[in-house]
Amino acid sequence: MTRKNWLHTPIIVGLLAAVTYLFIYGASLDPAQHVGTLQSISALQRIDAGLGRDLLLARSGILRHYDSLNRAIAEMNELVERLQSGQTASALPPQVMQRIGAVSANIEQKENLVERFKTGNALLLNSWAYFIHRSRELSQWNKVEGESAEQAAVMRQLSPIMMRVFRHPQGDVSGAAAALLDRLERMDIPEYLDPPIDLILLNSPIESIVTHGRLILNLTPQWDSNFRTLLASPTASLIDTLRDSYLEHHKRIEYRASLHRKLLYIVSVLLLVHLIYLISRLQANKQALSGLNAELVEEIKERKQAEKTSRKHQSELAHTHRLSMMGEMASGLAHELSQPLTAINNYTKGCMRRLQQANGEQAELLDAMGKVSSEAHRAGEIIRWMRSFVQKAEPQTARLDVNAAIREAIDLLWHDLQSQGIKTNFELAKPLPPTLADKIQIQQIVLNLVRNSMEAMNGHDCARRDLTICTSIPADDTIEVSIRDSGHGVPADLRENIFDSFFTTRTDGLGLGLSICRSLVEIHGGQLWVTAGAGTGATFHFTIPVTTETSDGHA
Amino acid sequence: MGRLRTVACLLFCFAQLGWILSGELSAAPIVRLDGALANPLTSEPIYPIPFETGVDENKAALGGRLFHDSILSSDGSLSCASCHNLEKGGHDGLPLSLPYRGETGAINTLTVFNSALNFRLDWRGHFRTFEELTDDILHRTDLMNTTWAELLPKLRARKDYVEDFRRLYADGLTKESVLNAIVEFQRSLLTPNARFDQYLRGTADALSDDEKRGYELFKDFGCVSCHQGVNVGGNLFQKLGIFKDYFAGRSTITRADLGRMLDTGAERDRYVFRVPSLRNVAVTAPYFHDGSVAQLEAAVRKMGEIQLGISLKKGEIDLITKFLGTLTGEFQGRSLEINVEIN
Repeated sequence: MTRKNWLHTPIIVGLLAAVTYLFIYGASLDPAQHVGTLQSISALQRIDAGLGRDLLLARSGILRHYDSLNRAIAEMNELVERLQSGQTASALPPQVMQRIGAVSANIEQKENLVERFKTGNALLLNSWAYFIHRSRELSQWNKVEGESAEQAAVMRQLSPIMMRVFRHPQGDVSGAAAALLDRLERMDIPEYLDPPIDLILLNSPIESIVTHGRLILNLTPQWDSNFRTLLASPTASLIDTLRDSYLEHHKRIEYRASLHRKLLYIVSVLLLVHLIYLISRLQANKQALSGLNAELVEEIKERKQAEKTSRKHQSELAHTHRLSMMGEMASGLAHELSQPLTAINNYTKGCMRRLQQANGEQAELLDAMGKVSSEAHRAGEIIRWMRSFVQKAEPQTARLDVNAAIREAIDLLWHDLQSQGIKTNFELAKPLPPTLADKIQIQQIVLNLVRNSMEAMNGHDCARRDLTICTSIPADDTIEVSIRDSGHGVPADLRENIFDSFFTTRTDGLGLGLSICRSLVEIHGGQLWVTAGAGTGATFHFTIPVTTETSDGHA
Repeated sequence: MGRLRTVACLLFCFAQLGWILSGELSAAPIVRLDGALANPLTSEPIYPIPFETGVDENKAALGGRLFHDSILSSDGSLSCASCHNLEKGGHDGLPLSLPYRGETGAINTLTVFNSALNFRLDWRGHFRTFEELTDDILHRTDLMNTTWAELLPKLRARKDYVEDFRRLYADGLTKESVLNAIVEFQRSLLTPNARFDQYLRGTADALSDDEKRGYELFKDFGCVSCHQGVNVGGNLFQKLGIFKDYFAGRSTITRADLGRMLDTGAERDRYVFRVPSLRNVAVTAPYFHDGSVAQLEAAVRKMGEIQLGISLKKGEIDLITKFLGTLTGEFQGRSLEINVEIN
């Protein structure tokens, strides 16, 4: 589970990136822009339809001005420009822009056609109006005789033909009309001095009729075909195509947007699910952790218990060892004890003799009695030490003067050392920093090591019998005690084994002494080891940590 | 426990996915909108000038100040109003535009009044918008002879302009806002409420009988074929000289005489001009692009000859001229007057 943890960051970052991407690129078209575009397109259609209607009305002469045509063209241009400039819709795709371009080109073309239509239409409607008036007045000419009558006849023929030209400009009547106009031009027409009824007739010399007629004949076919081109201009279908193309684009955008929205939802859900998953894992981990913690607490408790038990066993073992050591030391101790007792006896006898002879000075007696008391005290001390040494008590750690403890222990072995002829030296470092230790156990260690040394120097071949007990401070936090002898030493290959239980070189030993010593040192937080002496012999070292506590601590 | 939860989550996900994919993926409905863009279909070929100009009054007023300020010309000697005298007919009354830097303009100055109602601007209809026209006039060496780089710092040195532009335009004083202000002013220069417009609006006695008769002749002779719409012209191109050559007897044809051909290069556009508006025609002499005719009667006669192919008699010309006099409108509530001295 833990080796997959590195995956979570990329997953969450990836999901967040996906959400952001979908949010930005999944946007649908701005509704206002969309409506604006559609409105523009609808307006184009509507205006184009209106333009078509107005063109027809203008051609037939019902619409008598061109303002609406101009306005339609101007508005269409404006709408197309708006569509092209993207004011209504941002970022239209090329295919839609192409359609707009087609519509724009068509409108430009249409505008040119409309200009020409207007120009032609103005002229033609004017000329036709002239002709219509002419034919109306022809009835007045019915009474006229001679050449004028011939003119009237020509005019009567001409008017309907011109009407046909108006209705069917592409027909074959143009030739006939042209011939009639030629005939009319060749006639010599006298001026009418008497004013007839119509003013226009009078003011219109025959040349005017001919010129207007020729203008009509010349312009009409071109104007009509121009007009038909204009009407046939595919603006409406182009706008339809534009609309379809735009709607297609819009539909695509909308589809994409809805898809993106749904994907956005899915990704969001995935993100949420992943987070829930992470939270649940966190929860599970927390539970597992608290379970482990409880186990750990239990284990620590058990371990402490075991340690306690072990300590108890250790202490019992040490006690047993002390008992056995005491047994072994018994003769030495007895001698040690007998010394003060002997002294007491001697002093007491001396005092008694003086008292019997009654010649004793009081001061002399007092001095002797003081010595008795002192020796008794000394004996008591030895006995008390022996009692406490063999007492089965829980280890008591207390502030300890290691030098004093060593001296006290060695005092008890004094007789044995003397009897073996061992020269004992002390190299005690003063002052020693205080340490927290159990006095009995430290003395037990020292006694055991000294007695081992005494045994090692007990052979016949041992010429020099020197025992040196040193204390030193190798480091700020450590006191080292070393016991050097000039005995047979410890062979190098046995140096590690001698601290094992039941390892012994003696026939009468159990092999527990050094093992117990090592465990006692270790209980105190120190180390016990052996090194080879300078010449012969061995040196045993052990360390005790210096206490940093100022007051009496406890283990 | 944790694994069970994961599985549950995944199942939930798949369920969601299934539900989503089963949904319909359809486009939004098409919004249909209809507006009304009506075409005026009046029974008369001419209809009245609206009273409302639809311009921003404040911007137009600011533009008016620029219009009358010779700061617009490079040497500070010329304003728009130098040639477009609003106290008179909105023009200079000269045959050809004001002599400037020793050379006389090539073409007659058109009135600025009602030019907003024309479909193209200028005699030959070269400009489609006031913006284009104004920009051109500012740059032309024979007119304002300036550049934006020269003009804008000059305007920005004027605290009154800077403050007013800041007040009226979001971007303050810029090329666009200066142009816009001048254009807004030009758009505001309509002359509504001519007597003829009153007549069209239903006041039958706004015209005298002669004037009414003149209008009928105007229609009957075919003048109205080209001079129609709100501006009585100004909404189509036409050749000058349909039945007779306008330029007959002239030794030289000027560049300006070519008309629209200058823009299109097409032979059929030779001598083709934008039909001028007849609004205020009585107060905007002299006439034609070369200003060659000083009297309105003479102009009417000439039009009849060359454009309609008829010789109008004096009585008819008088009636038509009387009618044309009713096309004079009001500016700032005052009727335009013939107070331009004709040279």
